[in-house]
Amino acid sequence: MNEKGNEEKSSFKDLYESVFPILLNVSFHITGDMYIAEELCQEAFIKYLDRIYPFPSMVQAKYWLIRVIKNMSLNYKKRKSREKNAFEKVFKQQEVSERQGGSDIDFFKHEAENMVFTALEKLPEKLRTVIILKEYSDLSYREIARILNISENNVKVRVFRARSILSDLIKEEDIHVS
Amino acid sequence: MCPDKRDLSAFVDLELSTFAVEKINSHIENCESCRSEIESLKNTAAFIRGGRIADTAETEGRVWMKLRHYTPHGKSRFFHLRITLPAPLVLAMAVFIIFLSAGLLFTLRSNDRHPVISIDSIVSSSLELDNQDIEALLQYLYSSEAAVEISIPLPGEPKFIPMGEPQFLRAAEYRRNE
Repeated sequence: MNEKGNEEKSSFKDLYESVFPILLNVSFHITGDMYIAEELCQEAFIKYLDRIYPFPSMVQAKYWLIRVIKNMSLNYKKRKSREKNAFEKVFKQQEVSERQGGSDIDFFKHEAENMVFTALEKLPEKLRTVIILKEYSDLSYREIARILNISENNVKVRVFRARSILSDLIKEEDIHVS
Repeated sequence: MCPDKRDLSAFVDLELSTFAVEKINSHIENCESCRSEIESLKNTAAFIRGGRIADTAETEGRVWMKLRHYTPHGKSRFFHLRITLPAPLVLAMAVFIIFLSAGLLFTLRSNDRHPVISIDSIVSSSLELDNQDIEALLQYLYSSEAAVEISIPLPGEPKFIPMGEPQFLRAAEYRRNE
């Protein structure tokens, strides 16, 4: 029994180590908040540990975790924007946008991160989600399609559209991209 | 004929079949516009990737510390059944058990408090019960709330008193007498 326990523990650690960087990047690039991203990652793993039925493979577990972190991050963002709107309504003033690199400047070790986040924020949610999954994980179009429950062709189209809009934004801002 | 730009995007992501890749390679040898489109797509992808949080080790370690002591609620390794009892029921059960054990203890101890009185000892005591009948004896016992242990010593030797010859009645005669 102990052996099985150790086996399970080590396989969970393997999963954790392989998936954590992806979850953190996805969560951060959706929410824009490092603290929140960290909390959401922890919550996602807790949800995983709370599951009664284990996954048939590590790959399935990985997909599930990415789906969970994506949903949690999007929900957080929606909640935050609703709160922000309510706040603005009550105080009848423009709230200084906090997450546009202002108070989080510590988290942006390079200016590039800040610019990227700002650019990504301008994308519609569906395109943003897909491009984040494409660029910050090692997932193929097919895998992204499975996680998001859309067709592979759909993934291809969304990736292209996202890049299209972003390249226009980059040209507009005249950002040096080498 | 230039290929669809979305396919060029897929080309950049190495998502196309070998056949399609060869076709595009031979096409862009002679097509400046497609070559620059591919270049632009690559730059945009690289720009996004530049916003990746590469240094996740610290966050990863911190969250791991919190997770390793986490035990899922109500989950058992041996069976997946979670039994919950309402608090009033548990309370009622506890009270019942307490009363039951108290009652048992009470009955066990009560045997000691009420000594067993043997008729032998009553007869031989100075209470002068020799001439009194059974009813008086029982009355005495009842009033003293004693438990009765009646021992009737049988005579060592059978003492038969001859009352005459036994008569053997025939069944027919017996009925005649009815």
